[in-house]
Amino acid sequence: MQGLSNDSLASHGGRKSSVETSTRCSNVNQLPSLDCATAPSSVFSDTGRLWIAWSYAGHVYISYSDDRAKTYSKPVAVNTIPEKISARGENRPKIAINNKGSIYVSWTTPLEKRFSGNVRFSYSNDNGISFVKPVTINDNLDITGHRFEALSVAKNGDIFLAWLDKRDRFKAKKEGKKYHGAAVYYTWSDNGGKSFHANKKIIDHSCECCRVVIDTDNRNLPVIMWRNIYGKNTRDHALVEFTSADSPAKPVRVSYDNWQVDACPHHGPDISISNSGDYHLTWFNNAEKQKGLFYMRINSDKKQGKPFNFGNYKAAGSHPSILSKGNEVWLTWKEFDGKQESLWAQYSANNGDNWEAAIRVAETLMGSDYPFLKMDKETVYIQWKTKQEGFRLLPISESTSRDN
Amino acid sequence: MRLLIIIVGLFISLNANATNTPALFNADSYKKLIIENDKPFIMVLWSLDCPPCIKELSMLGKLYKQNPALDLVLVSTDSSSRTNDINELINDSGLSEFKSWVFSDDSIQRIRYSIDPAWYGELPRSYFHNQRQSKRSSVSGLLEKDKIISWLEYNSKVNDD
Repeated sequence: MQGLSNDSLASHGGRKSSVETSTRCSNVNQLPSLDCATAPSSVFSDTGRLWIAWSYAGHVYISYSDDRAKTYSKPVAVNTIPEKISARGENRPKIAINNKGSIYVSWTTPLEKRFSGNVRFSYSNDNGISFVKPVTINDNLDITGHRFEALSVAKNGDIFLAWLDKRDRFKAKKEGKKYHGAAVYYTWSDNGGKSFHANKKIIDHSCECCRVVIDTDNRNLPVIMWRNIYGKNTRDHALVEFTSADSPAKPVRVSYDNWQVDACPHHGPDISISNSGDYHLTWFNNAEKQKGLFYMRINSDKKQGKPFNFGNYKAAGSHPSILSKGNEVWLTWKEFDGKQESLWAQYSANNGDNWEAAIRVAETLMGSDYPFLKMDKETVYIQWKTKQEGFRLLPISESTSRDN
Repeated sequence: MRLLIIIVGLFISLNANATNTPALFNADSYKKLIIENDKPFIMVLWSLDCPPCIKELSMLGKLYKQNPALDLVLVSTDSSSRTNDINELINDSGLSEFKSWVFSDDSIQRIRYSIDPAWYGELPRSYFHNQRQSKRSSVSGLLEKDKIISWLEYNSKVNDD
């Protein structure tokens, strides 16, 4: 078992970028290119193929790489008719696969009115050669917010989508009432995306501009996490479990940092569910007493652990991502020292009880996307798209434990 | 023919100036604008993707009508490709008289750091600059009208002394 490997970083993560001055996307009129996509998502298949979804000039594209993001397949457009696609920071096209030739893609299309949008979905049953005509997932079509969607496919093939929805706020406003924040809604499909069940509300008064995240557990049920509004303006995190695909349980509060602010943090959490059913959570908060990046485990017996504060707050430690396998847990985030943006990782071999020292994985000079942890059968990588170096997969472990 | 192109070109460029296109805000801009502004001002950072920001701009527009002494620097953290939307919102909010900026394509982190290493990107974010560049205070979240009025009153008294 190995955690973070510096050796594996030598040829990748340590790549110096200071001599380059131009970005990878220097000609915006070039052919559809991942280099010009601002906020991609990716997922590994069982065979080690990396599938990537990204947007360019009104289309969501998918392409794959069989050599860990060195070369890519020719992009395939998911939507043939162009539409606006949200792809910056907290918003991006999402991709999920079922390892039987099906690929699922979701995104948000913004509408004319400010903060309005629809959640869109399409799938391919022929390994990404063709995609069905995209459908709108929100069954309320008011010109209001249905955005920040999260997508996950359970092992049994059930597809879950959750998002921030302002239909209730829209209705309240029409009735002259006040409504704080947004609501979290979800839906699911048990037939491979051919149809979805009616949208269902999970909670009122969520924060309205932080990403929603979702993972599915061994019971093929989702766990959804988001930044919620408690009381007047306390922006802490919540998650919801399900007793069955159509029965969300009562949401539970999982962070108690008490960040009170009437603002958009634009800084969503992340979740990874281990094989044994523990939830590994990470988030950012900026309360006076509790600030920076946090990790916390919720045991399968639902007991919440003590949050662990990581990263360098003074160096703008931000946008964490988490991944677990067996008892191994990895975190990644980015920092900025005034000159360079840097990518960091931290490893725990004992289910998040103790953490090895953080390591600096890579740096860049001209701006970067959020980092995301990815895992194939042998290695853990960080997906990091930077303006100068483009889309990269940076390995942070030579091999992960295979006996879990 | 060439003359016609020049005339058309001139017309287009004059027209562009008339729409108060936001200037690009990069990692040097903050330092420069502090030097240029020797009167008290509030720098308001906002984004098209931030509902409370829109509320705040509208409140500031109304406040400005009642308090012409209010001096603002408006900085959008959006992509510079959204200048039309930014202009529209600034105009709709009644704030078109103020200098407007939009983050350049430089690293967002670098620009943020140049303003304040302790700012994590939450919006709206405001910096109250008092007389003579020496002091500033920061606020995360929606500004309160009464606090701005007290601040303006305080500054006018300081100026009278």
